[in-house]
Amino acid sequence: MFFFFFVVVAVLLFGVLCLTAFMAFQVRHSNHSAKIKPKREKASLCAVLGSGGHTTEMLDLIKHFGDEFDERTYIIADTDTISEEKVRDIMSVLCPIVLLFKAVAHEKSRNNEKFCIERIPRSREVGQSYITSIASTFHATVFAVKLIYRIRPDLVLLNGPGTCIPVALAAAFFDIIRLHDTVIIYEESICRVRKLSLSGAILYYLGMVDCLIVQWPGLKKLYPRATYIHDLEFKPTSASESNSPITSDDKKSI
Amino acid sequence: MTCFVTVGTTLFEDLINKVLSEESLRNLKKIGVKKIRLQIGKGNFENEVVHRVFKGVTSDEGYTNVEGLEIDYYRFKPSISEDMAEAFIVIGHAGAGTCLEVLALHLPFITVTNEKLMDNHQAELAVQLSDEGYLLHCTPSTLAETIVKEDLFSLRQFSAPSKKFVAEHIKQLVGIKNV
Repeated sequence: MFFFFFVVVAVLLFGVLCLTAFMAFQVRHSNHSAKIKPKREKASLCAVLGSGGHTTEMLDLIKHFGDEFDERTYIIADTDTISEEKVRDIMSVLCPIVLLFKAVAHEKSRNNEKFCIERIPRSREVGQSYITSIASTFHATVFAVKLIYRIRPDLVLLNGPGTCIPVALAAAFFDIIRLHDTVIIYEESICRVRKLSLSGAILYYLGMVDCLIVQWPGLKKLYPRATYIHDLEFKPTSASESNSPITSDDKKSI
Repeated sequence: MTCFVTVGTTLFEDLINKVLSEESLRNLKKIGVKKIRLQIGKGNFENEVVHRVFKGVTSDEGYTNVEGLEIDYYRFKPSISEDMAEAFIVIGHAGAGTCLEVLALHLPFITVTNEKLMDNHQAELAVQLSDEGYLLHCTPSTLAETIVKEDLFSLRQFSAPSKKFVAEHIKQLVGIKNV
């Protein structure tokens, strides 16, 4: 009887502990709280690359980062399960590889040797049912936890593929247990006009991202905690250089 | 004066057939098109089009001349950017990648949505862009009349939001010193 009572209390206390830790995490990572962070010069970055369009958009963002992110890790979804149909469609096989080479070429052009490419299993194939995808997401999460424990990134960049959920969970987990401070950023694709993608919505409702960037005003109205990309342009920042106008180079390089 | 037609990697036979319909060809000539270049992907032409336009012969690529209009077509190319840049107007499927690529070139652009695809979320972007007046948007059955719409040559210029400010914002969140 006493033992039973003890277990119940222990479970309840553990639940309260988890909840408090999670709420503390959300407060630390909410978009609107003023951030007082120790200033630093270097940080490590971890970006999740998905299929074609996602990678293009991600590289478009990453090229604006300079030497301050010296250690970079690119995580790609493992494509070991190339189906027969996909082999016939040569473009869908080639595109991810081409984009991967692009990422490598981008890093090489910066003379940065400190980058690496990691692979994790896919959490959800296109068209996979939701129930079996829970199992494969769990499998991918175990992988992601090991991976994030090893690389301990200061910044995690996500933009859409299913693979980004396990990575976000792992990064948030190490932040919740206060092992490492990680900023998690999710950038929604420009293709999403009326609704967030599944990964975006999950991260939004769990409150796990520091900043969820959307590219259309309709999304900002529907998801008020998100950040609208054009609001950032006119945001007065502490630094002076953020006022400089967009150069024509910027536009063309898309 | 080239009109470039692209279906990307999808199967979209309605589009390539409707572009070569008599009415569309007439309207394309009306707006000054002299040459049509088609990227047809996996699709094939209808029998009617094969006989009327190509005189019964089609293969993976080819060339023909119909009533003063040069027409050539191919299935895939590693990069269609050059063909796009040479064009004077572009007609394409409503894929997001194609939309952004054409809009970056500031070309008059008609997107055609595949009605047969259920839940085509890629078309969302095309609809939004056409609502804001950056491109014209139609379905295969309304293509011919869309070609002669006068808005086609007075579309707004689109520039994708610059990621520079996003990068600045992220650096601030991470707490990187601005040097």
